Amino acid sequence: MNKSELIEALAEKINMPIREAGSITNTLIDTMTEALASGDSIEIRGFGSFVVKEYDSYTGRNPKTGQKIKVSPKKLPFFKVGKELRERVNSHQGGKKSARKK
Amino acid sequence: MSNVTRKELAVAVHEQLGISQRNSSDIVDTVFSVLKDSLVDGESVKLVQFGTLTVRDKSPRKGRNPRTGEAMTITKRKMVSFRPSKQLREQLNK
Repeated sequence: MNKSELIEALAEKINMPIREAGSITNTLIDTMTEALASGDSIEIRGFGSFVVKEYDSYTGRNPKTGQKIKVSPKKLPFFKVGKELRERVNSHQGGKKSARKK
Repeated sequence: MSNVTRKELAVAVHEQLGISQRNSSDIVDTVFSVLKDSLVDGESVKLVQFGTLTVRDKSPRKGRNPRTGEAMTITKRKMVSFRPSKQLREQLNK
């Protein structure tokens, strides 16, 4: 599913024109991006959370050439899936135990 | 540093688009339920500006109960992983 499919599905569910569903989707993405950019975390109950981790600079190596390189400090967002979504994603394979039988 | 929840997202929709607060919070819930349904169906979600959420299969592995030390097999399972887009990574490091 990409953004336009999300917008279409949303428009249909909330009974609003595509245009408005599009503005809503963009507002949400922008708000979430700004939150992470200012170091805030995002926590959506049942869905998951996004947390920004900060890394100091370190000396890394190019794995292919072995050459040393200095990696500058950076921030990276991480996602942790929420309980409800995790359980629903897993229940779709028809029971954890029976799924292991060959 | 603070925490953004559905509530803050609903406030943003309300303030920026003039949709009533009650509708805004229903809409925010609907957006996340659409995203969840897609992932539950095993379909990844790709939001170009933000990133991609994918459902990945994890194969069974041997683990131990940390409390009892008992060896056991951790069954195969699925996990949702997120890969931030280049734009998001750039925004964070501006």
